[in-house]
Amino acid sequence: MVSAPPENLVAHPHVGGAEQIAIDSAAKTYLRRGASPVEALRPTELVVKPGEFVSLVGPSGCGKTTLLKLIAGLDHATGGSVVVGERKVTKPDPQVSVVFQKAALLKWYTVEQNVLLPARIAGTLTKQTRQRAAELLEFIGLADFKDRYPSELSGGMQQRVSIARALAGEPKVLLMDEPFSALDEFTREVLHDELLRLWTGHPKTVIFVTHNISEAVYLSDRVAVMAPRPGRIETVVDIDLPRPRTSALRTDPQFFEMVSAIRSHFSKAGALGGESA
Amino acid sequence: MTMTAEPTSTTKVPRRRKAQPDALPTANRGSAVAKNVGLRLIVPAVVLLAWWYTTSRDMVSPLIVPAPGDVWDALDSYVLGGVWNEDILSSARGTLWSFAIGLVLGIVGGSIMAFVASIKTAVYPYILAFQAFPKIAVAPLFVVWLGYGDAPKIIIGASLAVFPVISATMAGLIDVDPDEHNLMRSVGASKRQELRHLRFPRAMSYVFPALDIAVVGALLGVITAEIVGTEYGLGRVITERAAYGDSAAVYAVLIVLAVAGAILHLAVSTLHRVMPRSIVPK
Ligand SMILES: Nc1ncnc2c1ncn2[C@@H]1O[C@H](COP(=O)(O)OP(=O)(O)OP(=O)(O)O)[C@@H](O)[C@H]1O
Ligand SMILES: [Mg+2]
Repeated sequence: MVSAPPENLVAHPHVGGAEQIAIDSAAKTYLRRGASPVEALRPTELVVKPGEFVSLVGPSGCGKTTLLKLIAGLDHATGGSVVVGERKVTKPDPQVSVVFQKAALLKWYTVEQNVLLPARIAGTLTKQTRQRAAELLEFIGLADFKDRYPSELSGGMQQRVSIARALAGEPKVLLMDEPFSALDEFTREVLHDELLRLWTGHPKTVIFVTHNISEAVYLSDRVAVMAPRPGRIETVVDIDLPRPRTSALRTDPQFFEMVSAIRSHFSKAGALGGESA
Repeated sequence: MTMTAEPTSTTKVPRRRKAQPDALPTANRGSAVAKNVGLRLIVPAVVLLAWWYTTSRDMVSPLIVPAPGDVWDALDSYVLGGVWNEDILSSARGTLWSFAIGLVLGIVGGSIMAFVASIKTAVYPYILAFQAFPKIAVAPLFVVWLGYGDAPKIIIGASLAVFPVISATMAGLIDVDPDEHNLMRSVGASKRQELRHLRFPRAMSYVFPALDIAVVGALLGVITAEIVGTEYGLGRVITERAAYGDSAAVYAVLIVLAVAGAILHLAVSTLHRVMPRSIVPK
């Protein structure tokens, strides 16, 4: 069940619009003026195959966001490297989309303008991208809201728009940092299924950060269990549940088994400080 | 084809481009407006009544508080009669120029100081210090240097109008949400694009509320400079009429200024409303 260290540093680092992410001893230590440095992430190894869906799960402060930022190029590693496809990450790349915990929609733009913003910035605003954005909005059930402003949408709708924005440019990698943690249970489960359908239709490599163990199990091919002080990946668990996954799975004993297996990793590490799955 | 948690998202919704979240349902809006107008009229009605009462009983000297009727006569002959046309025009022109200059200088200066910390360190304390000078004390210097024309009043007016715009621009440009900033970085936005799509609209949402203060500042600065000395202007009228003991005329000027303030406020909020939301967030 626990996957061996990646023997397959794959020869073809991209497959059908998705790219491999190879994290090679990447580490991050924050230096703080007048205080001892924080080892936010110990040297970390992880290879995420093209088109794979991997979750990072762990308690607060275990370096999930830190690792995500290294992959996104939003922060520099203080050791090791991250390679996306064949490109060593040194700065952000539009091929790598990020969805944040807050929807981070610009309130002065309409839903449609927000979704098209990355294309506008990249200078790739064509009929095709507009078409793709319209399809995405249709898919997430927000076609009728394209001329609305973010303040007129519910939290769940806003987060849908921010996912559409991340996917509109057909990125090769999608990084999500607790995208659903601010949503209620019902909306969250609906968005899980939408996300999985979007991912199936347009394969891309996904790294999904969450506090929520069952969310990670439901969505992922593999779950990386992280632990804090210093931040690190404790172990990586394969989720051998069949796809496509549907809500019937949520009550499946096999599903519960996986969830409690991951839970036990946390209790072993003594890290499960009241975190609920 | 899509499962959605909010049933509303699958139903047709009418477009509301200019939707205002706090707008009342249309059925109530008419009576709400009437109610607001009614509320606004209470204070002037009470003041007018008290005013009329005190003057009609000769409780105070007409030199201090002239009768409402006398003030109305002054308004009638000086304003409607056109005697002050030249003065009103001159003050209005001065105010508009002061406001325009203050707005442009404020946005440019505020942007420079927001982005170049060393310039801010070098200059901002002195802008604050100048702000602390009573303008009535500075105005004579400008009049001595620049004469009795429009220049001194525009300078004083602009110096009052510029400050709120500078501080709002600086605050708006500096205030950036870390997630939004990371979003712009992650899509590979250049500094210029980040300015255009993120910082500028946010700054505008700070600047527009400050324009209310700026435009009143422009008016006050102009009147102050005119009181000190000018050829034409309502400030000049105040000093002249006061010297003749013509309190009714001074009151008439004050009423004209109050109306001007209301018009300027209306103009600024209308400007805010008609600007596209993508440039000035609401
Ligand atoms: N800019 C920074 N400066 C100093 N320390 C930092 C900085 N960013 C993060 N850290 C520290 O690094 C560690 C890991 O932080 P990180 O944000 O990656 O945690 P996380 O797993 O995402 O937590 P959460 O679940 O609360 O989001 C924490 O101890 C945090 O205090
Ligand atoms: Mg985090």
